[in-house]
Amino acid sequence: MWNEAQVLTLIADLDNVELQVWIEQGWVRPALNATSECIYDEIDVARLRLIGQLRRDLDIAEDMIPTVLSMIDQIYGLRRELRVLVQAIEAQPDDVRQNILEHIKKTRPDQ
Amino acid sequence: MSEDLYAVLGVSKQASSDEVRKAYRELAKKNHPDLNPGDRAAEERFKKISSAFTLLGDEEKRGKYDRGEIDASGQERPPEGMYRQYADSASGHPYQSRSGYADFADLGGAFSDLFGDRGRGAGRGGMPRMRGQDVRYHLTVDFMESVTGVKKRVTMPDGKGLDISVPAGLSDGQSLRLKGKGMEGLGGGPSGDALIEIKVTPHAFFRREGFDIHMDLPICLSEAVLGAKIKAPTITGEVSLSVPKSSSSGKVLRLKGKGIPRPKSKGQKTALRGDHYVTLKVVLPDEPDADLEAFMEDWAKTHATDVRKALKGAV
Repeated sequence: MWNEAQVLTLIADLDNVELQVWIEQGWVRPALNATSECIYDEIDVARLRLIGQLRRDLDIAEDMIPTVLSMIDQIYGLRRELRVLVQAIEAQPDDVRQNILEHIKKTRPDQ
Repeated sequence: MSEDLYAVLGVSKQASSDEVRKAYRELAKKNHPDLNPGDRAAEERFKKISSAFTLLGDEEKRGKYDRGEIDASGQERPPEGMYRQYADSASGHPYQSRSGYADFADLGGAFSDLFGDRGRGAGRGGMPRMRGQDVRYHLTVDFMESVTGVKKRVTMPDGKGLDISVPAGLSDGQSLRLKGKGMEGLGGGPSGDALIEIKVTPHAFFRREGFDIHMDLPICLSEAVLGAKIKAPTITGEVSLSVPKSSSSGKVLRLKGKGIPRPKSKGQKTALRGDHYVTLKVVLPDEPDADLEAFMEDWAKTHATDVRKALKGAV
């Protein structure tokens, strides 16, 4: 858990004006404490670094950032759901797993 | 690692700094781990590319590297927390989006429940209708506020205030969901929810276990020996309590229904409450007391009891 000043020292090439803009845009959504001060978790800091990399290293235009972030969020959401499904399938008895595999083969004959 | 960093970025030694930057960008776009989730090879390549660029992207460091004053291995980036390390974990996180499979709700059958609870009403064709994202807040309340319930106001990042009424009896770590108070939806999609995680600061002497309250209650020697009617604080105020004669330290007394209100079930008029448990703690005088010592010496002569009987033979 870090406050704004700590985050700005953690991420050297981030200044507070940029940080405010990213929060106003909703790209990063830190938690708020009882006095409405932003409190940053590890994932918030990692996301700030990611946005910094997207903007500077990858030269992605500011107006494209929401699209890229939304895609990234969706993919991680999908990966999580997929992992849950795979785990559920893994937990099934052999014959059930076999049926599922055969069904997958049928729906994807190209594989 | 004595790899040729120019080869890593695919540029010649004579490349200008712009060319180096451009080459780095191209490679970073292709290999960034968050744009290639699950591809370990891309992640490794990205690490190499970015450490090569930390060196070659900096005129001074590049000069040193060219003159052989520093080598490639000296410049590995410290492993900073990559986003995917958090975003791709099995547990949920505030940025997770379900819009990528919201329409699975239309599949019907058993899985529509699994995927669909948030996806209802996703439109087909035209503008994509997306449910707004959930927003997570942390709210700290003190122990007594958590017991009685409290109204709080938090300011959201967009400056709007959000009134939260915390119901009585919530415990540390529980969350409240405020429907529709999250991010606005896209294309007429419904708004997300606000998830308020409650943190309860501990009380000076009340401890919570489930819906029960536990506390230590000091009593003096005469109260322990003779028994007494004493006052004990509970979350609803002072309650009088009978200490039986000859009460030892550690004796637990129960005050029924003086604990935390349980959630009401349907049709129930008043909430049932947990209990309040008092653990007695016998406190002797601060200073040695001559009268007490004299009395105890006499008393001990005629009242030999072995209170540690049960421990014998245990080792």
